[in-house]
Amino acid sequence: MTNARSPWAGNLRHGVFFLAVAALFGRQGFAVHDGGQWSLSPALFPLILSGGLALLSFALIGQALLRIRAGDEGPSRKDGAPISPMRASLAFLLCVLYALALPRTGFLPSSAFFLALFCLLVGERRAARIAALSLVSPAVIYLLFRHGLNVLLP
Amino acid sequence: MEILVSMLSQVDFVFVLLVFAGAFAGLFVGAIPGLSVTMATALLVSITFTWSVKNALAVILGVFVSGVYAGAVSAILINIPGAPSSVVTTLDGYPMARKGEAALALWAATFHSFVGSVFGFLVLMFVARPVTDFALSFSAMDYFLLALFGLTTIGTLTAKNYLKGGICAVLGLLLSMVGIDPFSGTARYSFGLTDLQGGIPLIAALIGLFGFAEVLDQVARGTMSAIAEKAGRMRYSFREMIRYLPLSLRSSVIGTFIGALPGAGGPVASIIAYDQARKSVKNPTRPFGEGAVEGVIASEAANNACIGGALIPMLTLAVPGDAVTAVMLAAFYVHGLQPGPLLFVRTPELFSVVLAAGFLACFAMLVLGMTVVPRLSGIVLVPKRILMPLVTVLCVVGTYAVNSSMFDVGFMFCFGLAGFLMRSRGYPAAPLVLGLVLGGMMDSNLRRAVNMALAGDSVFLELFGRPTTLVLSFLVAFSVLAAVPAVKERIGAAVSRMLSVFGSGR
Repeated sequence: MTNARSPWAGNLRHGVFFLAVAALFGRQGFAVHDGGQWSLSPALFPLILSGGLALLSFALIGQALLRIRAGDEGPSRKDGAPISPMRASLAFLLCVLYALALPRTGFLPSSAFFLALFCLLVGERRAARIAALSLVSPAVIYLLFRHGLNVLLP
Repeated sequence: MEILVSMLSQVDFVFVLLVFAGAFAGLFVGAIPGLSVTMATALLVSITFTWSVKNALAVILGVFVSGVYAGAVSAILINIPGAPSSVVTTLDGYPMARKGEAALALWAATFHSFVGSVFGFLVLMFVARPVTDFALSFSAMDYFLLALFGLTTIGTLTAKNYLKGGICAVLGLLLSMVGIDPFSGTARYSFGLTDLQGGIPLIAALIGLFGFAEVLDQVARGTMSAIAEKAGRMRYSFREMIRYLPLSLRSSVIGTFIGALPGAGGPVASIIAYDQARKSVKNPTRPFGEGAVEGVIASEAANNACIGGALIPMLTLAVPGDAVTAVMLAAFYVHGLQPGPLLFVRTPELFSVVLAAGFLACFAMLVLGMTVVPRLSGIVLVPKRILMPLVTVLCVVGTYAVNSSMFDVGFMFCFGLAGFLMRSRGYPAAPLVLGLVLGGMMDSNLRRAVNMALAGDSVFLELFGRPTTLVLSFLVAFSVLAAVPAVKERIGAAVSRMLSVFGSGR
């Protein structure tokens, strides 16, 4: 048997997840069928796709089970530095807060504050560089987009 | 000869200046995700409607040619494709930048985009009518199969496990079903949210899956040095230009033809050209997907060749080949012109104007690409602790710029998170984005094909009885089967058996 962290065990979980997604889309697809001719129905293609996704999910589960039974440990992961879920979560949370602040405080102040915090999060410690980046770049972006390209900003 | 003289007679100082101004603007519009060439062309129609047709077309074609090319700039430098047709360029362009060859990738993209664009306009100049006739012989089923072929190809090309590539492509197609169905007006998968009735915002998905996912990935890995230690050499040798010319021309043929198919466009062309490059190039500089310059060349030559291709049905039949030519068609009507078969009879000089502006725009793109763009490759030398926060703000601004909607920005963040999770688990983003782009076209063509087939005598024959349909069906089946390792081995064994039989007979 293989351990729960092997790539194949992961694929098994993914297969089950995608099967659930296929079921959700399939159920919703049936819900939009208007009862008329199937060839004209808005549900036709979504249902074919849901079936296709279910088929591929079963294949992924089957592939994982066969490899686990064969005692295959799976390909080794050599994708560079290890991933820290904590750092990614903090960055994502900061971005969500930025998105929430944008319509309330406006582009310039929220972007300046966000850039400064993001720089600190990713390890930039030089105050002069942080100040320059967080004050100058939002102003440049604002001038370029709002006045140069006539694009609305939050 | 007559057409050359006619083209030259259209060119004056103001005309050249306007083409270059358009190309310069197109460079920025194309390179900034969120600002599309379609949007810029639409804006130009409103700005230029009081101008002469000649001057209006000069600036519009300048933006069009240069804008399509510039999508590669952000794709190569920061892994954010400027437009869906540059998605395939990220597959090898960004790995090249990470390996210190950003400038080389940009040079290759510039030169071969130029080759592709010129090839497309040459086809427009000499064989517009036969290409249009062949493109129009495509049935709804053919369009469906062509898009399916593109998706099966990209699904198997980009993932180590072909099942994961396939799952991503199907997920993209399913997400493209969100919104109001154009046939029946029924809302699909909108879960009662009015914001979803317009469908999944494509640019938000594109920026999230490529740009914001890259930010999260880099932050999570804590690798905050520059993308590369060097931007690479700032020139592209004449020998390299000549060496890759056959590949570039093959991709241009694919791009021009697919561009002439209404609705297919750059994304499909670049996938199919990339696939043929992978199969035909025996010794690439690196394996495809890991920074092969051949991948950038195939994708860029094909998506730029689409421009000339898309103009063919627009000028000869008033059928736009893509979104930008649809806007250009509107510009023709605004100027009181009637594109279609009578255009050449009533206003023959207009064809010369389009060609002159097109060729000049290709030249302007090459000049700007050689002078301005390589300077941008220095971006890869900026430490990521400075670059990543800035990229995040640009992701937000680029997404917001499309619809002025914070809902889209929220979507972009969600797609970014999904892209980050997918990437860390071996699921490629490119098939998902292309599924999103092609889903609407596949849905409408499948339903049209099935309905027409039901009206005929034999449904199967009506659906698959045409030679083009049979060829495309075979290509789809081959593409799917060849991805299965066991089948792949058997095909390989069968081919070697056949070759050995021929060998022993000699």
